[in-house]
Amino acid sequence: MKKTLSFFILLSAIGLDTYAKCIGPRDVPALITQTYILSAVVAIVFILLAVVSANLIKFEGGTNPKDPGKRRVWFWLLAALSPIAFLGYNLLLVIPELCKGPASSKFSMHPFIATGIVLVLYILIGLVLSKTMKRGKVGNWFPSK
Amino acid sequence: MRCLEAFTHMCAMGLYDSKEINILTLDTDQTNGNKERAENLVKQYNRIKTTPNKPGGLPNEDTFFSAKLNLYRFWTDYNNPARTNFKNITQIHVDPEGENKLLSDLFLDENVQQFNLAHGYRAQTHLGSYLMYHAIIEAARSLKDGKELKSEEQEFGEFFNKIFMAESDAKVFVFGSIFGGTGASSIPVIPKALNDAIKIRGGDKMSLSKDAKFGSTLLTEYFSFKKPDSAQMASKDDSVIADSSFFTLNSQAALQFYQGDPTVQKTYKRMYHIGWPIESQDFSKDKKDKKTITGGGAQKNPCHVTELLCACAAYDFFVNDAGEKNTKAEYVYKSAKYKDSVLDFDYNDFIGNNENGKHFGNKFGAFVSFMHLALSVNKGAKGENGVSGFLNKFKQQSIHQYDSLTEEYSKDLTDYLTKFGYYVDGQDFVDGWLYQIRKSVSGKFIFDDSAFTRDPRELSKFDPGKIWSEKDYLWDKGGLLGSRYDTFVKTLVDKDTEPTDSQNCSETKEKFLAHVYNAIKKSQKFYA
Repeated sequence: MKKTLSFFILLSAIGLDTYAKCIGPRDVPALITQTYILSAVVAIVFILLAVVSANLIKFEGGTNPKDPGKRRVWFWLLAALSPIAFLGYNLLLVIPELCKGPASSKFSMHPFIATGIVLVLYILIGLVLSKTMKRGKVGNWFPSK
Repeated sequence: MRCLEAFTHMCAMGLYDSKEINILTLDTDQTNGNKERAENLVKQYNRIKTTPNKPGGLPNEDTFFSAKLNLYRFWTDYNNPARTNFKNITQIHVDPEGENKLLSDLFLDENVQQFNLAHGYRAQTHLGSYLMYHAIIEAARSLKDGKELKSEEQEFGEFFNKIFMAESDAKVFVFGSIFGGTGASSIPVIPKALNDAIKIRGGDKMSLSKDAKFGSTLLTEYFSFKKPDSAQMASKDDSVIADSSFFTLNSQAALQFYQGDPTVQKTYKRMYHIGWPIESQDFSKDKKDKKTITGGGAQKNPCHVTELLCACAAYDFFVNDAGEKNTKAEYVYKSAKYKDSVLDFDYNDFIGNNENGKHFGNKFGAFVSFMHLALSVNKGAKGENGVSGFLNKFKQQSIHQYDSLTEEYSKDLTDYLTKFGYYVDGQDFVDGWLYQIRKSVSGKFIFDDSAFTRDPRELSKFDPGKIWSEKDYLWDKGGLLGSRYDTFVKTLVDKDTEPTDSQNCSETKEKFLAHVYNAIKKSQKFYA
């Protein structure tokens, strides 16, 4: 009885310990949904940063001003940073939280898909904004010929 | 001719909205440097407005270059060996005892009858009035004959045809000084000469409408130059040379004439007395001329604010109805703030105050900003195509309606602006019209002094929205970290700034100028 009880306590302790340290298979679907929502949020945050940077760059004088080029550089720089930041966050802070085994394998593809979504969403939103406000500074991201 | 330069720049500023103005340059000195400069400026103005179907463009409203200018040139030919002086032209020496010779000797000294007329009448107005009148009559007779017409006769014929066709709506304004040669000689005789020329041309069936209105400047002395020495006056051709030390006396005598002469009083509706109350500008200063320049290509003197005031007198005459019903000439003058030998001018001192002053300030200020945008911000003064900076900015912000404007057009417009403002030739700063005018005024000239900087470092970071001292007219900065130029470009590319139908711009060139004008007008808030 005492041995059974000790074994039970030990197993419970192990179970409890595992629950505090890793995300199990039952919680992976919610995590996947959360990841995709976060990918959209990250894309929007980075686009907003791109809009702010575009507006901070002042119009320049001269026969061939370079300010549109500067805005495009910042747009594509942030385009590159957004998936890197998102993937880095997932690799360093999310995936280590998953329990090894079924949970981990169930979740494994989704950070990469979501990273792709960050990039695609960023460029799409950027394109729409650029074409909608083509006379503004964000119009320089995708200039019309 | 420098009054014509000022007038042309006023047209470029847009002060003569919707007007078509016919300009006749009348001179005795065909090769005169100032004449060439003024005529080239009008021709360049016309090139800027010209489109394939419309030479000289059309009149527009509330924009730059809004007037249509037609240039006609007439000059007396005194280069022909048979016409170099009074004696040769009149042949009075053929009958030494005849009435003509006796009358001539009564009024004209021997040296006055013999000096070379190629550089004008050299302040001999009694001779000049006679010769100018007869030159015009001679041209009218040639036109009637219609044989072997010279170009200047044809152009003169077109000009006075326009006056005839305008009938009672004809308004003729004569620019001239009263202390010198051609202007002083011509002002008294122009109305009669034009009327007689029309009568001759039309075989007495045509004449100037009795309701045609004439106005004129009475510009008294404001400059001086190197006194001629006896060595230069030793030759027969140079036996008479204008001496600027007599200009004050000439002006006084002329003013007495204009005040008292019944023909002048009956002919002119308004006469605008423009004088210069302080020291005359010395055109020979800092020059190493060995001789007094009597005329020709070397006579290219800088501009003066009195000439701008003459151009403003023309504005008053053309635009206002005041004086139209006068049966006798009305003499008007203008004054400005004067204290401790310093004259200060603000925008109310040119074509009137209140609404007129605002109108002048808005147009002049807008054109000065345009000039600095093209020359200082876009480096047009240093040889780059400053106007193309605007066109490239439009393209970059997806505004493509001006893509068809050629590089030739933008270079020509940039060049016009250098004539208006300034340019840099190597290490030398070369004053254009505006900077020359500024130099002639000891006190304040409309704008803040920083608008007239010559410092290369200041020009490289020039703020075109800060030309006014008055805070109300400074362009918005758009926040603590903002810049006026940045805010201006946002205004420039805004859809609301595009040309409107009321501006009467049908051609791309006109629309481009109107677009830039609208953005500057909005930025400087005269009409906010």
